[in-house]
Amino acid sequence: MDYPLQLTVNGVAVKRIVEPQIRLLDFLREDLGLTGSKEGCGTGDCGACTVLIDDEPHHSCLTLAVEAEGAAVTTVEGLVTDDKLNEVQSAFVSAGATQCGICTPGFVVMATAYLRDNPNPTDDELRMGVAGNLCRCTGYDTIMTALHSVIDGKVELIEVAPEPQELVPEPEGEL
Amino acid sequence: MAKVVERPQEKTALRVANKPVSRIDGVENVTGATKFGADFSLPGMLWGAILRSPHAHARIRNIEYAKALEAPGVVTVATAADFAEDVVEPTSRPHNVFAGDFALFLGEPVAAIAAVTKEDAEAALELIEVDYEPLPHVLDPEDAMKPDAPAIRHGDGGDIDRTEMSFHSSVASSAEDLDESGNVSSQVQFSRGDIEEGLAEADVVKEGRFTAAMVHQTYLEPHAALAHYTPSGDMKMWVTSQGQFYVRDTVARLLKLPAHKVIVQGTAIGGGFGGKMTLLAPIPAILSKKARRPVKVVWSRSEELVAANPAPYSVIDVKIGAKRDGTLTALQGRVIMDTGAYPGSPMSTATMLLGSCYVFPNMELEGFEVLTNKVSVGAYRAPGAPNSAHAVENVMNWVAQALGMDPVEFRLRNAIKEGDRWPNGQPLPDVGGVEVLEAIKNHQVWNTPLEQGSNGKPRGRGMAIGCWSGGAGGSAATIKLEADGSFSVLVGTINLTGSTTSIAQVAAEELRVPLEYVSVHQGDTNEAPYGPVAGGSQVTYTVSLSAAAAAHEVLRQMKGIAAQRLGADVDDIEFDDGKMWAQGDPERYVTYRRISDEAVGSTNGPIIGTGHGKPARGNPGFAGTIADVEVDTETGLVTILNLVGVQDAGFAINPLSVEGQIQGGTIQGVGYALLEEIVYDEDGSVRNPGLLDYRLPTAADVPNVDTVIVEKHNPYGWKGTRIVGEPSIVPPGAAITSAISDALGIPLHNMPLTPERIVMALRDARSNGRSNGEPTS
Amino acid sequence: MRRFDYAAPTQIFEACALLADRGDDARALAGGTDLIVQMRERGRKVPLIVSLRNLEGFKGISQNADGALTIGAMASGNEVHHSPLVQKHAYFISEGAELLGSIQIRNRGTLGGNVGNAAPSADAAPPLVAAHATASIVGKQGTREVPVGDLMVGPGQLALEPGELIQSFTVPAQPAHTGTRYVRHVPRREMDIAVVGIAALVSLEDDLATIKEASVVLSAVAPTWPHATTAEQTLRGQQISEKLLADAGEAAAADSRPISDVRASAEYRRMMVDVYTRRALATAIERAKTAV
Ligand SMILES: Cc1cc2nc3c(=O)[nH]c(=O)nc-3n(C[C@H](O)[C@H](O)[C@H](O)COP(=O)(O)OP(=O)(O)OC[C@H]3O[C@@H](n4cnc5c(N)ncnc54)[C@H](O)[C@@H]3O)c2cc1C
Ligand code: FES
Ligand code: FES
Repeated sequence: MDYPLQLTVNGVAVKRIVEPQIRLLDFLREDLGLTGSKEGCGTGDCGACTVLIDDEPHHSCLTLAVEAEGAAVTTVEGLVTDDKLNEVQSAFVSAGATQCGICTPGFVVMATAYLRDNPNPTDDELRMGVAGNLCRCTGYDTIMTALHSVIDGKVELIEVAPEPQELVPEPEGEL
Repeated sequence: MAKVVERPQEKTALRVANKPVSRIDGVENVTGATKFGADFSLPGMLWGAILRSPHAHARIRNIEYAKALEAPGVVTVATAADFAEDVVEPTSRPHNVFAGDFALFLGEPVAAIAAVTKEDAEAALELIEVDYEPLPHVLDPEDAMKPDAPAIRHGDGGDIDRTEMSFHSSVASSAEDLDESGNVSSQVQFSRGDIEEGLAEADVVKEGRFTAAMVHQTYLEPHAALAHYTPSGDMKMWVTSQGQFYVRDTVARLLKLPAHKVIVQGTAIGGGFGGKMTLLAPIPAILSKKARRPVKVVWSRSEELVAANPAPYSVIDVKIGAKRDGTLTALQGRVIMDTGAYPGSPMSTATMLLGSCYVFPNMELEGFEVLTNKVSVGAYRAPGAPNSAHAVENVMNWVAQALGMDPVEFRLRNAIKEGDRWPNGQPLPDVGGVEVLEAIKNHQVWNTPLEQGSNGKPRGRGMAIGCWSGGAGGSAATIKLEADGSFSVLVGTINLTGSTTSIAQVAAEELRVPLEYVSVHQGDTNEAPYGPVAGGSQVTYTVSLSAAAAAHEVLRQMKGIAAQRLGADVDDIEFDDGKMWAQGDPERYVTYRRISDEAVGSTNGPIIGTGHGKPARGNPGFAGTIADVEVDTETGLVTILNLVGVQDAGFAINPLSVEGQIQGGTIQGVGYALLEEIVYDEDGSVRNPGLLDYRLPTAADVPNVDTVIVEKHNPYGWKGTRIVGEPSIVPPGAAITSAISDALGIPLHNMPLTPERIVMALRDARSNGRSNGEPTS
Repeated sequence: MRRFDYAAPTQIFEACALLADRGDDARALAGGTDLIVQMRERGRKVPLIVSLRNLEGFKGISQNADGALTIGAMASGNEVHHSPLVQKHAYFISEGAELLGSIQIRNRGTLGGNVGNAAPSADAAPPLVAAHATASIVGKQGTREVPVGDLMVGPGQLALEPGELIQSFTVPAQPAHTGTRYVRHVPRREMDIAVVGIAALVSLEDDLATIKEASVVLSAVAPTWPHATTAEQTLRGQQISEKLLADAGEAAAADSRPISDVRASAEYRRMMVDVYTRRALATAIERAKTAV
């Protein structure tokens, strides 16, 4: 059976017909081509599929697409504003908090929501707050460094695809 | 942040190498733009699903799939019958895509379906009728070694495929493959001196029997592959794998296609750690060939945990003797390694590594690789080494304690050095074991006495070291000078560990331009020069050499052009910052951009250089861990208070990336030590096939890792580089279990030390009247 | 996942009728953190899913005139955890809810679902049982109140008729000097399923040294969420002492009926019931002393 579905994804109104067994994760990845949300487990155990539903972090792998009817969904692709990475994204890049990068989208979405609600956590609270997001590569060290730099307000926002600077200036004195 | 122990050599002239650089692909990762295996799709694409054996051991009498073919959406079904007999190697898991006459473990693929949707493919699996005759199965390797144990395999003989192990270790395996002796698939022995005499000479002898659980690499991205067999007969593939050429060769062989017609693009890879090679790729390939449509298959996490290729369970006996002055006299060791249903485990490496860190004048080591009806094992970051280190390093600490010696001093006294031999007789080049031990000895954590907690919970400290030989495969790289004076580098290796960034650093350093002038591209198997599997820590080690060679070739051509233009001798050309000039006259120069222009019209033609080769030899990397723990003796819960990871990187091309490797490997070691274990039920099924019960450490379970990078120059690597990826996982399991042992005052022998194992060990020790006594065995 | 039909009715009677008509073929969907996992990983087949998301009267947390607290079945783990009302009224219900998975799980997973899933290892349900909460059950026949402690009859099984739903939970007001604690044993600190869970509620006499009433409910060590009745008897009317807590711990261990599974052996579980009962009681007593 097919169901009509209306929602907004990253600020854009979307209308589609879906089958009820389609998970929000499948809908985002396959119907909308937003492959930033990842499937690490499909059972709520890894956090790689985390998206914001009405501003709250949810597992898109445990959410039926039809259950997101009327919701505002934000994926990792929707975190960039005015051509700048958000604070958490920028901090991840600067701190080298991504290795393979597969956990990164979910981690960034989760941490963005967590730090919005808890701007001043202790290190332990922070670790508990993001414990639903597994990372196998980093050992979490650089991720924590990145998030602490957000907490300390020390992040410079990074521009997405900046205008390339001219490489070799036309030199003087060249032969 | 890492403390780098500086080599005395001056490094001031370095431009971008040896400087921390965050990964070039960072922005792509944080925006979700990076495309991993499952992120590729094609119009008209079908989805594949895999039918797996529900029996740990069974004869397959018949497979009937006519009904499945009629099901909605189903396009094709593939089974073992689709592969020509002469390409199937019964003893090689990658070349045995589907179970043939026998299913040897629960979860072994039996058939696969391609259908229009995932749901259609999965639903149709139930319509395949397989006639199984269940056979007796064995799950425990020690049971499997008994003379009356049922045979795991069925007279299939054949050479054992050790390809994947060879990626990880350049050390020759001297294991004998055994066809005739029941379920022991191979056996190895190393001996030196006279073990009995060595033990007799010793004033202190300690021994123990250690088990290490089967653990999963648990890369967070499950296996995924997309195959498209085009009308012109090209097999185009997008695969998440550590080695695109290995995938290509395997698929070409299995499908009897010419290598150049199998075009594999290795996608961004969401972690591999040795476990992501070519298990899945042949399945979408055969389905696509049959369906003549693109087919994608993505494994679920439970398929990963049940049927991928985890790291082996092992039982290791170790006995070590030393004289009162701390000199080692003897090492006796015996390794039993559970290889699962296919041979190819790191048994011989694990056996040899028992004797790899210290000089033992007398030793006797033997190893047995044993078949069982479990999933076959694969490589996981320094395969076999954490198991070995767990056994040896714990016993070393017991010996040190019995001698009343500091465990670091004891190790320093016996540490292996250049010219000493490994158990296989191979003399060592200049290794950094001593330097790693010195770094531990000088570390602030090591020099700060462990304070007892206020809550009455006992605390303990443990240290361990370990080493890994690493791979040293052949590789190649191509560099082009572009029109504006920038460079593009083409490689065929997978960017697994941020190696792309390091390679860019190497090229920029050699070409003397800023990092932004260099881009590195990973081409598909037809575009790119050959690259080794991203395993064995070898990508940066080997590709840095070929990238440097390619840069030298490019510079040679550029100098020719510059010399002409400057009217100077080629040998007098100097360069930096995108300019070349004649020695002594830097005011008159030509830019790289001008050289590029000029070259196109010259007899040289466009500037392009390829470098290829293989490091003269591998050179082991050493690592060490200090762990401080606190134990709740009532519940067995362990809190790690301090974790220090020390590693010799030779020359850290990108210290940020080296540091990340140390941290990641150390925390994987925490998983080994405390949490991770694939648990089997009696029927051969995995009882914890999900990430809730197969427990990776979360951020809340681990402390920061205090990292120290030691740089002991390796004459065989680019500017002294050594393998980096793997050694960090070797010692943490040993150090953490040893710290727990220290806290409780009892010997402990298992990994992982789950809360239950700790509580039960304490209870047993109490009932034996020995708690808080000296750890002995 | 298998194909299935889906409905998200707005009327309670409609939801109940759909579920009653399809019997075992239909299942209510709250947050889906149990149900979707079972359908995906364990091949559970559910031909009709009836979503509760649009139903009125299943949401919200409020205090009643008589001082009792009503928590809608669809209240999410995070709502229950963060609710000042819940924290003030029966802190351990907040504590239990806080343990559900991760923040993401707690945004989806509901209190009704935790009870509805009827897992022996549930973390949010045992505090409801220990606090003598009742569930309002709606069905085609109307509404009935059932003690949460009587609701679970075995793993995955509730004493509900087809078509019946839990609409809300009512937690009675607690006497003065009452303190509560829910604590569980797991190898990881987050993201784990209880090996043992203990919900303890203690009411003290005005002397703050004598136990007036105690309620100890066990998780993950029996087919349901039973009271540790011997332990409760051991405590009632007694002076607080270390020995008393130790006796209660031992009694609770004897009351438990654990099994061995992939998470732990029965033997270890019994040992942990002892340890955690003691610890839960100690905290509940501390809280009771400072409670108003
Ligand atoms: C990663 C992960 C970690 C978890 N960790 C924990 C944990 O630590 N502790 C714990 O206790 N649980 C845990 N869970 C399980 C689960 O999250 C909780 O049980 C949660 O409360 C279930 O709520 P839900 O709304 O998602 O239920 P659903 O999955 O929607 O429903 C569960 C069952 O209850 C029935 N049901 C739902 N609502 C009602 C109702 N109003 N009336 C009648 N029946 C109903 C459904 O039909 C279904 O059978 C975890 C789950 C995951 C995936
Ligand atoms: S994919 Fe959703 S939590 Fe892992
Ligand atoms: S960076 Fe690989 S899993 Fe986190």
